Amino acid sequence: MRDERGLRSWALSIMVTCAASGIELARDQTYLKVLSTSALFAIAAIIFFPLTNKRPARWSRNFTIAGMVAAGIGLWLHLYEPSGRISTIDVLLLGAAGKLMFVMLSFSWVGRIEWLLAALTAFTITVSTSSVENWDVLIIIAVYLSASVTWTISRLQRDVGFVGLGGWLWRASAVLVVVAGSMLGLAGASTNQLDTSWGFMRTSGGGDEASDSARRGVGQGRDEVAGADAASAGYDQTDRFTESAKDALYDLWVESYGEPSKSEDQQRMIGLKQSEVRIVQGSDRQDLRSGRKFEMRRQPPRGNPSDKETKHPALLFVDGRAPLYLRLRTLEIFDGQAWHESGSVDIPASLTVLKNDTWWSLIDHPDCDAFSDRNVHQIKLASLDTAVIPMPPATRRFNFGRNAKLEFFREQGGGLVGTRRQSLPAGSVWQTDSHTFDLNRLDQSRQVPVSSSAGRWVAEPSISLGVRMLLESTVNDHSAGWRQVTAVANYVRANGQFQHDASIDTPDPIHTFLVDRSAGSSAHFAGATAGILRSLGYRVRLISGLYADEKDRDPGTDQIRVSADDLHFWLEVRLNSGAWMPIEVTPGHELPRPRPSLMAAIGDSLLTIIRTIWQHKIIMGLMLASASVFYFNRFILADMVDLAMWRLRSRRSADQLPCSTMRLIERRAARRGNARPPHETRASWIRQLFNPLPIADFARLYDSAAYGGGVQLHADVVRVICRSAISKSTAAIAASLASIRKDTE
Amino acid sequence: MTVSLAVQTLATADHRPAIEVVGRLRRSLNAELIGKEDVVDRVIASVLARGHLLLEDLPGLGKTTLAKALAHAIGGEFKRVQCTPDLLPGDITGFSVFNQKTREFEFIPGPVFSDVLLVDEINRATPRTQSALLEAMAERQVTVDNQHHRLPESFFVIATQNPVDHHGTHPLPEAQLDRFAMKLSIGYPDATHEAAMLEAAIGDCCRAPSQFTPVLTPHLLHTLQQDVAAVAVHPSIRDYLVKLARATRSHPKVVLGVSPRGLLVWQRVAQAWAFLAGRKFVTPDDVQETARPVLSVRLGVNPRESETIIDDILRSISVPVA
Repeated sequence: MRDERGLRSWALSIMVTCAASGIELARDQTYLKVLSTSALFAIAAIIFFPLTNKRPARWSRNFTIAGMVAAGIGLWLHLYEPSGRISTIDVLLLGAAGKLMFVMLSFSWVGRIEWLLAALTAFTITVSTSSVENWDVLIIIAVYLSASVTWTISRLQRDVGFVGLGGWLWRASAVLVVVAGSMLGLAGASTNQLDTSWGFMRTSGGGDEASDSARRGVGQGRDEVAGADAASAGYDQTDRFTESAKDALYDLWVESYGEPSKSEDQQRMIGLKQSEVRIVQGSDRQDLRSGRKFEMRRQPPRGNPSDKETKHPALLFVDGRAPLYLRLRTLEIFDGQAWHESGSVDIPASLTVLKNDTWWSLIDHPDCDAFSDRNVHQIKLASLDTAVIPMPPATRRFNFGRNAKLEFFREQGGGLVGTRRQSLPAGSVWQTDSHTFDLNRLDQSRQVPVSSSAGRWVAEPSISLGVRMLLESTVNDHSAGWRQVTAVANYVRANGQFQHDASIDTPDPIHTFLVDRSAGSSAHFAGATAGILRSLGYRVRLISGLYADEKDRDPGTDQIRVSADDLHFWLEVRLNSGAWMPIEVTPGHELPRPRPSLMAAIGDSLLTIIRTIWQHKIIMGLMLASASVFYFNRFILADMVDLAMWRLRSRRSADQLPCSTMRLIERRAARRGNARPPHETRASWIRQLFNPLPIADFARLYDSAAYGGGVQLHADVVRVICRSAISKSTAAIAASLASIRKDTE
Repeated sequence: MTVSLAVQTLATADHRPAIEVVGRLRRSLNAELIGKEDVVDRVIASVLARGHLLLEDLPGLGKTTLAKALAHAIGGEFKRVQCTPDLLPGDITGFSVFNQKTREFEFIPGPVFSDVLLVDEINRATPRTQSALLEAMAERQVTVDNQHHRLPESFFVIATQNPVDHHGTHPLPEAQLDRFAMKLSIGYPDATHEAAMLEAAIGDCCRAPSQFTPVLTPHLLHTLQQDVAAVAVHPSIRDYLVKLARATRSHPKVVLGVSPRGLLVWQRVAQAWAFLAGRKFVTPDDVQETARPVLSVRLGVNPRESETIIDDILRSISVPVA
C-alpha cells in the first residue's frame, strides 16, 4: 500500500512537472530547456523503473511532495509576475524544482539506478551552479546540494562508519564545504556564467557552427550582412538585427547578467537568414589574422563599425616596451598662435660610431638626472613616408644596420636625425636605445628648466589676458622651475577637454581651448601648455610624432601596430644642462615609466594583493572558511573518498577485495598516526591494531589474496568479512586515536 | 560463526589429513616438553623442512629429552652419540673390519645409519670428528674406504651443545653450522609448567623408551616433507627472501652472511612454517618468524648480538604488500 502511494505520487509529480513545462511552452517558446530537462529525467526514470525490484519508499513520497511544492512556487512566481514578463529566475526555479523532485526520488531507490540518477543530478547541479549568480537561486541550490551530500555521506557510512569524529558535527562541516564551494564557484563564475549553459540555448537558425554559411562573428567574415536593414532571426550585437518583437531567452539572460564571453566557434553558431546574406570577398585575410579581437560586450549601435585596420594602414611596427614616443618633427617657433618648424639643416649628422660596431651615438647628447633605465626597441617602417628616422626622446644610440654610413644621415634639426634620401624605404628596420624618465627625481635634480623671466609673463609671445588670469594663481603660487612647469602642465591636463579628432579654428586657439573650454586634441593640449610656458620665459618646443600604445599590441606577433590614429603631440622643455625633457599633458597618455626596483615591485604586488582581497572580501572570506573546513576535516574528507573508492571496487571483484580493504585500513590508520612500519607485515600489524577484536578471518583472507593466488570463497562471504573488517577497524582506529589523545593530554 | 568456519575450511580442506598427523606429532612432543609449544613447532618445522637441528642451551633444559621424544615420535631408528674429545670419525660413520671367516673387510655401520641421530654435546668432539658429519648432513651419505653408503631418506640430526661450559670444547666451524637448518634454545619453563612437570613426575619412576608411541613412520614423514616442498612461495616473497639474504651480507656487523644454501634452507623452513599454520602458501610472517632460528645458526656474528642484528636486518627491508 505504501509502495503504491509512493508510485502514485511519483507518477503525479512527473505529470505536474510536464504540465507546468507544457504551459510555459505554450505561452512562449522559451522554456524548451525546462521541458527537455524534465522530460529527460522522466524518460530515464520510466525506463529504469521496471529494472529495479524496489519501489519508492515512504520518504520518497515526502520528497516528491516537496518537489511539487517547489514547482508550484515556480509556477506562481511566473503566473503572477506583475510585469507579465518571463523572469529567468522562474526558469531556474522551475527547472531546479523538477530536478529536485527526481533526485529525491532517486535517493530512495536501492540499486544501480540511484547511482545513475545521482550522476545525472550532479551534472545538472554543475550546469545550474555555473549559470546563475542570484542569491535566492543559490539558496535553493544550497538546499539541493546539502540534501545530496547528506545522503551520499549516509550511504558511504553505512555498515562501516568513518574514522574520527562522530555525530553530526563532521556531516555539517562536509555540507558546509560543498555549499561554500558552490557559492565560490558561482561568485567566481560571474563573468562567464553562461558559458556552460550556452549549449542549451536555442540558436536562430541559418546553419550550425560547422556550416559555411554561418557568419564568423559580428560584422566580420565573408558572409556579411547586406544593407543596413538586414534582419537576423536571433540575437546579435545590435537590436536592429532582432526580428521578433518578443524578447528571446538569450536577451533576458544578457539583460540580467551581461553578455557572455564565447569562443569563435560559438560565435559562428549565430547564423543568419540566407536571403539576407551576400558574400563579401576579400576580407578573409583580416579574419585569419592572429589576435583579431572580438568585442564581446553589448555595444550601442555605432553605425558603420569603425575598422581601424581598413581606415588607416600601419605606419610602422614597434617591438619593445610601451608606451613609446617617436619624434618626427620639432616645432620651436611660436608666434603666439601657431607653432612652426625651424627648418632642416642639410649637413651630416653629428654622429659617431664605434669601430666594428653598427650602433651610432649622438655626439651632443647631454645627460639628465631624470634618465632612468634604458630600453631597446626595434622599429620597422611600414607605410610612413618620412625622411626623419622616428626615434624616442633621450635616444642614446641607434642602429640602422651594417650598410649605413655617416653620409647616409643628416642633421634634421631639433635633435632629429634624418637621411639624405627622399624618404626611408618601406621595410626599413632600426633599433633604438633610449632612456626612460623617472619624474620622481626631478624635485631633487640640479637640472631645472630655466626661465628667462624668473617665471613671470613676458611680452612675446603674447598670451591672451583671459589665459593669464586663468593661470594667475597657478603661476604665482610656484617659483620658477620644475614646480611651476609641472603646475601649468597639471592645470592644462585637468581642465582641458580631450577629443581625439577635435579641431579649433580660431585666431587664438589657446584662449579658445582653455578659456572657452573647447574640446581639443593632443596638439591643443601640448600646444597650449608649450605656449604658456614659452610666455613664462621657458625654452620649450612642441613635438609631433607617433604614440605606440600598449593596447595596439598584437598578441600573435607581440608587436605594436602604429597607424595614423596614433599621431600625437607633446612638448619638451630645455634644462639648464642642455637636455630636453619631454612633458605629457594629454589625458590618456603617459610617459613611459621606469621599471620599478625589486623592492618596489614586491611592495606594489603586496599592495595589489591586499587591495584585491579587500575588494573581494566576501569571496575571500568564503574561501578562507572553506579552506579551514577542508583543513580541519581533511582526514574525514579523505576517508570519504577512500570509502567511496573502496565501495566501487568491492562491486567489481571479490578476489582483490581483501587487498583493497587492507590498503584502506592501512591508509585510515596512517592518517590517524598509527601507520604500519614498512618492515612489519600487515597481518601482524593488523592483529595489534585490532586487539582484542577478532580479525583472524580477514587476515587469512588477505594472505590468501595477496600471496596465495586468490580467494576461493563466495564473493558475498568475502564482502561480509571485508565490510566487518572495515567496521571493526573503524572502532579500533578510533580507540587508538582516543588513546593517543589521552596520552597527549 | 558461519563465515569463520568457511575461512577455516578454505585454508585446511586440501591437506586436512596431513594437518591431523602433524597435530598428533605436536601433541606428542608437547607432552614430553611441557610449556614449550613454540620450540616444538620450530622443531617440527625443521623436520618437515628436511633440515637438521642444533639445540643450544644450558644443561637440564630438556634438549636430550626433546631429541629422544622426536626420534621416537617419528618412529624410525634412533641412535645417539655422546661426543667426547676422544671420539673418532669412525665412531660415527662406521668402519671396516677384517672378517676372518670370509677373509674380507666388512663395513660396520656407525650410529649415523639411523633415521634420527642425536649428537649430544657436539662441541666436545674434535673438529676432525665433527667433520665426519658434514657429508652425512649435506648429502645423506657417508664415504668409508672409498665406498659410498646411503643414509635413510628421513635421516635427521639433532645436535646439542652447551653454550656456557667452554673448557675442552671445539666451536663448530661455519661449514658445519651451515648444514643445520636452525638453532634453537629451549629456555626455562615458566613456573606453572614447572609445577606441572613436578606433578607429572610423581609416581613416574622409570619410564622405558618403549613407552613412547610413534605417531609417524619414516615413509609418512617423507610424504609430509614432499607436501611441504610443494607449498607455494609468491614471487614477492622470494624477492623478499633474496633482499634479506643480501642484507645479511652487507650488514657491517656480519662477518659471514647467508649462503645460497642457507637461503634455500630458509625458504624450506618458511614453507614448513606455513604448512604448520594450515596454509599452502608462504606469507611474510612465515619468513620473519623463521628468521631468528635460521639466521642465528649461520650468521658469523657475536652470539650475544645475534638477535639484535637479525632484528636490524628485518627492519631494513620493507615487507612486500599487495
